[in-house]
Amino acid sequence: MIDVRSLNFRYPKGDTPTLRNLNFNIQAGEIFGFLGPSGSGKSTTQKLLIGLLRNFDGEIQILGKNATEWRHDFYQKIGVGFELPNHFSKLTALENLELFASFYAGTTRQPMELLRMLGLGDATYKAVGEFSKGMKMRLNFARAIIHDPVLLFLDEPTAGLDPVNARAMKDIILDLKGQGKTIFLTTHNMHDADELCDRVAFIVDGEITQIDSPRTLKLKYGSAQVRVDESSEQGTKSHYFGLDGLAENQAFLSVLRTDRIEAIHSQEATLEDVFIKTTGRELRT
Amino acid sequence: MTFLTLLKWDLKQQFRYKFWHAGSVLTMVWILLFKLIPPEQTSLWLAIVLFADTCTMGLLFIAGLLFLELRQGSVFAVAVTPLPTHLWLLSKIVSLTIFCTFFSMLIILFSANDVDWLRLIPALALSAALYTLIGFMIAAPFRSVTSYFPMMSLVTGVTGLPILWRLGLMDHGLLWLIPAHPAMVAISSGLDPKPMPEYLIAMGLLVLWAALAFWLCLVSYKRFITDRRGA
Repeated sequence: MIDVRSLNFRYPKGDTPTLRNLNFNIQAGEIFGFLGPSGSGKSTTQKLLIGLLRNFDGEIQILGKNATEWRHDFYQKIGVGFELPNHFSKLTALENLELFASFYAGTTRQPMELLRMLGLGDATYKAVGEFSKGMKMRLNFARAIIHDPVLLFLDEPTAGLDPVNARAMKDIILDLKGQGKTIFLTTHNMHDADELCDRVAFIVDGEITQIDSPRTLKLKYGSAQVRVDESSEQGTKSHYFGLDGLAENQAFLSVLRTDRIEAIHSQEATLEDVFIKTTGRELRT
Repeated sequence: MTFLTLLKWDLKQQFRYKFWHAGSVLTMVWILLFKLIPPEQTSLWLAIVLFADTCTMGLLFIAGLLFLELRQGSVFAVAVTPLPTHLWLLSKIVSLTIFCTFFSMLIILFSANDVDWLRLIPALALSAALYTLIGFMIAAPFRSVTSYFPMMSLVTGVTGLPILWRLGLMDHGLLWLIPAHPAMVAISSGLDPKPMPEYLIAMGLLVLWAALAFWLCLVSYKRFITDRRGA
């Protein structure tokens, strides 16, 4: 679906390259996460893939053609949800979707159906300028999928959403994957990436440092543990034990034999732990 | 998407941005001022006002529209749809040309009696289109009206030289090198009897300048809008 080889890019007035020798491929039907802190090159990579930026070095094969060979019909096949809302603020939600739907050839999805699906049914006739950030992000998403694209680019799709709407958004993304859509997800939210992505790439300072499934990365770089919380005169005291050889671990067994245990939790490394361990950087910086 | 559908959406948005309200107020002011001018001087000043009004509206309103769309990000949302850039631009230019020409015609309707509408309407429309294109081209590198204003003032000053020609203070062949000069000649031709060849030459030059400006606008769009920051 997407094959990127030796991709290098520098902005016209940039002192240093924004992207350095990126290599990755994305299979059809996959959700591929691009994880990195702000300024790492995530959004620039997305802009190159969707053809908003050009003049790069290297090769991008996308939907069976070289990226430089695609013309405006490319946008008939892809959907793009930007990190920031992009709407006509004086038009209503319905008018925005109707206007964007009119740019595409063939049948598009029903705007009213999309608005209801994203919990915007009550705001159908409201000017988008009066929307909250979360509502605008949901409308962004509706706009990105209105023409039922085979390949979807989503930049921080849950940014600005409350937990209920973030959950709903993630369920819709998983549903789209179930329909066979390919999704390129750019985020610095490791929980979203862990939950949604088949594979993730870590990008720092324009370079990819790791590419693999979240589970493989956590197993490779993290260590599974059990945490036992024990009550004591000073308050709750936590003990950590590795899963390997737990049944013969005398310290663990002796804690278990006390009658002061408050809770036992199994723990595995988070994707953020792995990111910090492998890159020495934090995702939210 | 037909071009007419796109045009309808652009006009609808310009109405909601209250461009048409602002245009109405400005036009009313001009009509009232013309009531104070002696009838024998109406033709002289009408050409200057139509020229200056078209210039200001074209340069200012397209910039305002562009900055609004850049701020709300809709420029980039449209850039990733199959809509060709030249159609998007053409719709903006035509909608603002309709806007400028409509208000110019209102000023004429309430301020002058004996005019050649067949010459005036195409002259006003082409002049408005040219100024709107120039406005887009020079506004593209900027991101706010405040930062754009010095450039707009400079361009207004240079392209305003034909006003001196209309007042009889300057008459030099080099004036034809200024894209605005054929606009002034063509507008004047609709208000005072002028030889048809002069009108046709002016209209031909306006078409050429507008075609060149349209191409330069597409270059500006790519260089200063999508290539500079993407989205």
